[in-house]
Amino acid sequence: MEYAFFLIFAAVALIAAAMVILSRNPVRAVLFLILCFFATAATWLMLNAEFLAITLVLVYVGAVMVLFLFVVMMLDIDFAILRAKLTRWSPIGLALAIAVFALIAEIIEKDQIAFGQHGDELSKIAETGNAAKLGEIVFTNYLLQFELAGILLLVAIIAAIVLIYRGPRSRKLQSIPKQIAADPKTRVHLVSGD
Amino acid sequence: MGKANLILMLPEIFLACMALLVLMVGVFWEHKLRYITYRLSIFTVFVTGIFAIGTYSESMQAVINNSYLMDNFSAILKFILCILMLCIFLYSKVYIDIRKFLHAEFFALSLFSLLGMMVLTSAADFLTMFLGLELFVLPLYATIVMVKHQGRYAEAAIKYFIIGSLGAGLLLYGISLVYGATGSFDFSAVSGVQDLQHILQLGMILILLGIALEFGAVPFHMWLPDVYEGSATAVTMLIGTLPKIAIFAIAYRVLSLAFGDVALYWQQVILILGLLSVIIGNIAAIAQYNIKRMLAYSTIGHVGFILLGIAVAPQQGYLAPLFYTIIYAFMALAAFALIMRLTAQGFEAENIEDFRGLNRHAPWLAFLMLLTMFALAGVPPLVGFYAKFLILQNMVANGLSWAAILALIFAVIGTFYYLRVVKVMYFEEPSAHPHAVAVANMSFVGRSIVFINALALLALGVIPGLIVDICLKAFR
Repeated sequence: MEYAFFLIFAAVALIAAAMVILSRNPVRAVLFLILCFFATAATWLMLNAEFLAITLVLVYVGAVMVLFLFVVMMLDIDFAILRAKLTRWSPIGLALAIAVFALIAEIIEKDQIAFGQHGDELSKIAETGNAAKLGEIVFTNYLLQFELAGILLLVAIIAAIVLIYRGPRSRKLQSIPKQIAADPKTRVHLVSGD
Repeated sequence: MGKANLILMLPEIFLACMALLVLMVGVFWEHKLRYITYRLSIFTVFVTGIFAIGTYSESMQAVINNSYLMDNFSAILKFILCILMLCIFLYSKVYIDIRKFLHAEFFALSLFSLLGMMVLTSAADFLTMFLGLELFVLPLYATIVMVKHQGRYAEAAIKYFIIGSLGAGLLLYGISLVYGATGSFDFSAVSGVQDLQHILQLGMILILLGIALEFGAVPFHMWLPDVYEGSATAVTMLIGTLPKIAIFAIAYRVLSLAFGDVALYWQQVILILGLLSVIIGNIAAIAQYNIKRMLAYSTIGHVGFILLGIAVAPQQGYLAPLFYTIIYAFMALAAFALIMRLTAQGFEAENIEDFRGLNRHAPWLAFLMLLTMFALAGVPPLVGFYAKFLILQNMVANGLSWAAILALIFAVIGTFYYLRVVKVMYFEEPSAHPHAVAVANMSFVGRSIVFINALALLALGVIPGLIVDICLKAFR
């Protein structure tokens, strides 16, 4: 039963990911990406990683993708030109993708990888709750990495501001007193006919 | 998880705090005190360097759950990174001032980038390594576009960003496979696994490719020329020098700590990447007329030599490639600084043509450029020769004479384009453009240090023992 669900969600995720690249309409591509995230979140949920699944949905679907949609709708991208290049290079890309896929498939086949080998740990984690365990480990074992990630995000903010900010610009505000004090004589200059 | 150990991280903690301070000072005081962020950054890098060399200790110490190593290697490399950063700030002060990006953001981003590189030299698990790598490349993307928001700067930044993201993707996929096979991020946990499963192999190869991509080794070299050409010289100097040392450091950590026992699996890969880089880098550089592009391809050739050194390192030791990397960083620093000396307001010395007849106007400058070019080419009395010699010697000692000969042939072919710069400077008539040498495009301190930097390439070539000693200490 679980396996069947995994297959369904994995298939949905794969098809959605393919459609992100293949769909003609950029808005539709973003929507397919959202579907892909949902399917991935579902597979994570089945791995007892409910906190990560929720975060994926909340952060990526809820925030990042909405932003993406706005950007895509505001930008006027001509996808026909982009797609023309895509079709030109697609044979090479396809060949590479198939080669890498074959390699990975071969490895999985050869190793008979038991992906559940850390399953005990996962179920143990599931007992105490995902978020609690994650919080515990992030603030003890991975404290350094946590801090580094914080600095990394700060740098990203600075970088974004550097890219956007182009010096102070004064707003064009109306000065109400000046408007009230305006006098028709100073505004309109009558020129005599001759 | 000893709390007292945190004192070992003093250089990084100090650097991070000061970078934040620079940012804040920039917001509130920069318009009143013009050079305050510049001076503060110089002070920061200087003090960080002193703290870094202070962590030098005979025994290896781990901080925070074994994810951060402090040993001679990290102390010395951090110190060298700080020296390079200090030189870059001093060299490029006037340059960036003229181009109006002498702002707190530039310094803060550079300092954060330095922090990322320092993290890389000490990283002892894959997660720290990935974060360090991202922390040092992310500010670089932004600094490229700081100069101007459009045109080739934006193109260079976007190319770098996309290729960098691809590298990060490869690296992360590799890390996830390794994590899946071992259940741990620690480098040491991976080395414990004796029977290298195929999945671990695939993960290892992907990690290596991610590192090679950041290094600019051949199948992944396409971003380098465009980024070098498309950035302002000060930023090119930043991208062309420090990251090489940081990436060498992480390659050393990963290959010796994590995959040291299974060297047989990766030596061939690195060897092929190295040979391809030496061949393609040196041949493609011949066709370049833009000096920054030429130096980019020459970088690829030099990276090839470093990789060749790493390929035989499990048997011969990491001394030769470390020596080469450090020397290369200083050679590139001198080369870009001399290119910067020819710039003026609204004029970038970019083409080899711009150096035409330089000897007439500025014999000293031409002489320093000659020294740098000869050092990069590996002409005997200069230090570049000794660096190449060490690598080739290691390769021959490892029974790879054919590869050594091949590398040597292409290094000799590469001499052509370095010598062309020398020929243009000495044997051609000055071009119609007046050289910008007379313009004050570098501060007095900067000019003096460039002078010392280029002459040191000669001096160290005569007595290479000085740097070799430092490198030896790093591995003790």
